[in-house]
Amino acid sequence: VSLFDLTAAEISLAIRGGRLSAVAVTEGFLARIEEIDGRLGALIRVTPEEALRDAARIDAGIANDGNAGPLAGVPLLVKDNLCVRDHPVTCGSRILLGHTAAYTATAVARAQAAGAILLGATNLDEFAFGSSGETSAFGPTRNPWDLSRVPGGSSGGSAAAVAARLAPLALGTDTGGSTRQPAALCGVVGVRPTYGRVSRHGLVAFASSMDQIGPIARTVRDAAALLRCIAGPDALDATCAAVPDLDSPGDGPIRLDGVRLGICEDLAPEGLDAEVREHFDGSLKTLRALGAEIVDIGLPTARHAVPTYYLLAMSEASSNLARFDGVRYGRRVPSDDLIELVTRTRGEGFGAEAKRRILLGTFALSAGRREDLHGRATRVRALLRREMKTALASVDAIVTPTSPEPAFPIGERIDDPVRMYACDVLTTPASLAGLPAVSVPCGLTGAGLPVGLQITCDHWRETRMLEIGAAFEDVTGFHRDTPWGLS
Amino acid sequence: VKRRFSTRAPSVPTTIPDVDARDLRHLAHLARLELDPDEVERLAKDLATVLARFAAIAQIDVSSVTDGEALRSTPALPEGVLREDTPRPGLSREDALRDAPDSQDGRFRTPRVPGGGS
Repeated sequence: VSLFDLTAAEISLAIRGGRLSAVAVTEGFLARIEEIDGRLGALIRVTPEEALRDAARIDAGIANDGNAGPLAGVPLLVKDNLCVRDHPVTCGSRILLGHTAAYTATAVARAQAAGAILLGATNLDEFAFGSSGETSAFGPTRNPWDLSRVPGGSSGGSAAAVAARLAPLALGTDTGGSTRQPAALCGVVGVRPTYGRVSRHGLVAFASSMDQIGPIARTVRDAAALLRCIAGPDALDATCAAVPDLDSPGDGPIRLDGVRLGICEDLAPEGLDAEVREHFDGSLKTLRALGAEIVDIGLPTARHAVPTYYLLAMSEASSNLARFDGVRYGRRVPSDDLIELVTRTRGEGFGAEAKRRILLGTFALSAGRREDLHGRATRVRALLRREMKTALASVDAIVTPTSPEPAFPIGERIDDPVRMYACDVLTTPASLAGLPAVSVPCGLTGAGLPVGLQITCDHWRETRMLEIGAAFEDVTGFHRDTPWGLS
Repeated sequence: VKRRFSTRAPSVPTTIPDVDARDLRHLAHLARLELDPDEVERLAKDLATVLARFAAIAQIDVSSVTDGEALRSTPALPEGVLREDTPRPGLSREDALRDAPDSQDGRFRTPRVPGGGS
């Protein structure tokens, strides 16, 4: 078996057992990044010196006292909207060029404390604004299954990198589906934790009422292991709660007897791709064979999730991005006049999608519009959350496809925001309701493109959600398919 | 087809207004974004298209939602998530200023604010 096909769990076990060294593993993955990423564009930055230094420290720790964390020596990539002290953090934007972070994100620090080796930072849609991985100032990321297609977004770099075996683990962030949709389009596992499960300290904010940091991995158990390391209360994020009950799925076979899974026809009003539908129906058969009962649920408001989500997310983004003013960090376009300095800095620094969202958000919050747009969206969100909570009181999880279609060609939607936003029709309901959801691979289309199955559970029920995902993964094995776009 | 949601008129009439180039320039001013004329035209069109797509939410009956419910945008967090408000070291002045495009005497330095004195 090649090093690159090992899971995070296998790598850390081998390192702790002395069969592999963390330095050798790190060197192996750094060489693979060097060989492959030129074609993929998944990474913005690689930090080999620090990675090798950290790996040597892991090896020394194991040699000295055998002490090692659960992710000992496992290579990790993080989305470039997560701060790492003394490193640049670009958010895929020109406006942050030249900026280096003054502190490290809690989620990154916790993964490192568990032994993970940070190899570098992954590409993303600018400020996580996008569903295709195309809006980065550093250029698009390509899908490792077909280099002419998008990896999804906004954590497209993290998902493409894990699919291409550039690292077994990555951190993404999910506001409206940004870990789950790229995971689906790249054939890997992507988790959105419950709102409040993972500290956002050190994450550059996009929409603070929905942003969550989540793991991307090739297996559900690897994603669960990383989630356990980064979860839990943090004095630096008051929205991060001290809630117990987060376990990894056991190693043995998992049955789903007595598990009730809700399906809902209301969720994709504009329809599903025929092959996505076929794989979803196949997935339901598999879940039934594992013992699960499939029941119909109604979520009438879910059909309005996309406009509701975008009105809220853009409003919050327009406010959060006000801090990029050329005064405190990042680049500055000089002027003798302060307002002109700010206006020019922002005009030159932000890309097209960031400008669209800032302007739409400003509109939705402007005097005379605010009640009808932002205000109404908060009420629709409350309705949707009520419906989802009611449904989840009678079922263990809601299952849907993750994305209504497989990966689309690069360039196809970049100038068509309405079509781009429609990509998020199945992922935004969980975001609006603060619910946890995971995407697991559920097959390949005739053209060889991955399809994802989304499992959404009630607040704080990640343990159950990951068990269902692991049960499905164990009997299907779609996660073992290897992208051929790179061969 | 089973009716899944109410289309009763909401208590307050709502419409999603159109956006033209003049509105767009005003929004850009509010958001402190310099745009070139091409961008103004393109973005005005984009905003109008996107807002037209969002118009559907004006039709949803939200009369059952209380103000409190609407404001509670996050899942119910357990009690006691707020830490004690005790002083502790934060970001140092040196760290806060180290990436400033311009600074002087431990402060961010900017051109004069119009009408703000020296």
